Amino acid sequence: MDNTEKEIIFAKWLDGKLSEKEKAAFEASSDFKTLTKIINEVDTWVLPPVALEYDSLKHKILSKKTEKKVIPLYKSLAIAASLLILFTIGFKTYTANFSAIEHNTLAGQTKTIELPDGTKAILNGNSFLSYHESDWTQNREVEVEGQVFFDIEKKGPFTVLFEDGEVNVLGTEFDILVFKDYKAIKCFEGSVKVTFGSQENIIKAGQGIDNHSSVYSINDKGVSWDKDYTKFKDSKIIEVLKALSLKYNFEFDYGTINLEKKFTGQFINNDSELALKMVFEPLNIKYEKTNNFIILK
Amino acid sequence: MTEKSVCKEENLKTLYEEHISDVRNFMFYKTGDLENAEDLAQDSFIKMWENCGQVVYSKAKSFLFTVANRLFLNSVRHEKVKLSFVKTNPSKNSNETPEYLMEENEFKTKLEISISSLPEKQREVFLMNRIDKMSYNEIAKTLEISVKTVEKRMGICLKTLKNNVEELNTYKI
Repeated sequence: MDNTEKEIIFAKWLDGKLSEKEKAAFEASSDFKTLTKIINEVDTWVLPPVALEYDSLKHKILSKKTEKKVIPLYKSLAIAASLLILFTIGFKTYTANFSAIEHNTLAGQTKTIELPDGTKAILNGNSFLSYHESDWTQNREVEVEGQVFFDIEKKGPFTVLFEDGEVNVLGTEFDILVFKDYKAIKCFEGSVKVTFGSQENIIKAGQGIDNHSSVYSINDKGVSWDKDYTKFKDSKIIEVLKALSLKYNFEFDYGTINLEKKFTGQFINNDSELALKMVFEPLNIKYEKTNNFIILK
Repeated sequence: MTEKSVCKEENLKTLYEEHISDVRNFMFYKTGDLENAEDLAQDSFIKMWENCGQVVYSKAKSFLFTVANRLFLNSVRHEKVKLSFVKTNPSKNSNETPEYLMEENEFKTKLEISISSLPEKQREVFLMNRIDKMSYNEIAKTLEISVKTVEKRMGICLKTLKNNVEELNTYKI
C-alpha cells in the first residue's frame, strides 16, 4: 500500500467511513494501535471557555460607532502570483469522483482549457487536470499531474492539489509541472503557499522550492514551453529532464550526474534527437538512447 | 421564507453565543495565543456587524471564519505556534503509578509539540475535528473547501503524527 492510500485510510477511519473489510484489515495493523493512542489522548483535551462575553462585544461596537470609523470588510488580499510547479506524478492518487471533469494530453501535445470561472489552463504533454464543475463556485480546486500553466481569475482562493501536497493561491498566473520522483514550485509574481506532506512554505516572486531542497532563487520567467522550444534560465537539470519527458515520453537513468546543476538554454519541441543534443551537448553529458530509455553518463 | 437578519441585535447575540468559541479556537490553532485569538474572534463579529446587510444568517459561521482568517493574515505573526491544551477527566484507573502519570504527561507534551509543528491548514482541520467535534462535512462547509480536501489534510497529518509518535518510541530508553 502506498503512502497516499494509507493516508486516505487513516482519514476515512477517523470519520467512520471505512467498509467492514477495510476496517478489519486496518484494525489489525500497528498503525491502528498508534493512531488510537493519539486520538484517545487528543480527545481528552479541551480549551478554556471564551473569556470575552457578549457584553464586551456590544461595548466595542458602541465605542466604535462614536469614533465613526469605517473599516473596509475585505482588505484586498489579492496576491499576484505566477509560478511554475514541478512535481511528481506518482500513482493515480485521488479517487476519481463521478462528477469530475478530466483532461489528459499525450506526450508532445498541448491543450488549452477554460475553467468555469474564466481561469485559463494550458496543459503540456503527458499531463492531467481534473476538477468538479458542480461545486466550482464554492471550491476552486483542481488536481494536476504533468505540467500546467494557470492564468487564474481573481475570485478568491484557488487550490491546486497534487500527490502529497497542495498549493494555495489567491490570484492570477502560475505554471505547474508534475512528475514521479520530483516536486517543485516556482513563483514568478506575488507569493504562494506550498505544502509538501508535513512541510509548508510561503514562496515569493523569484523563488522556487522543491522536495529535494529548501527555498532557492530562480531566474526564469513564466511559461516557456508552449511554442516551438522549451526554454530554461538557470534551471536545475532535473527540471530539464522532466520537461524532456513531457514532450517526448523519455525515461532517464540519471547515473551519477548532478541533478542540481544549473542549465540555461532550450530544446526543440518536435524533434527528439535534436532536443537531446541541444540539452546534453552544452552540458557535456554523454548519453545512450534505447527507444525511449536514456542512460546518462 | 425569509432568513433572519444579521442586523438585528438579538440575532447577533445568538450568533455570538453559538459561534464565538469555534471561531476563537480556530484562531488559537493558527496563533497559539488564547488572548490574541479571542481578540481576533471578537473583531470578526464586529466586521460581521458592520457588514450585516451582506451576510446571510445561515452562512454566518463560514463568513466569520473567512473574516477571522483574513484578520489573522493581516496581523503580525508567522512565529512558530506553541499549542497547549487542558486535559479533562483523567482516567480513573486505580493502578495509576506516578511513573504512569509522568509517562502520560510526557506523551501529551510530545503530542502537543508535534501538532504545533504541523502545517497550519492540516493543524486547524485536525483540531476542529478533534477539539470542536466538527465532522469533515461541517469543516468543509465552514472553511469553504471540499470534503476531499479535508480528508486529504486529515490523512497527511495523521500519518505525520503517527510517524512522530513511532519515532518517540524508538528512541525511548
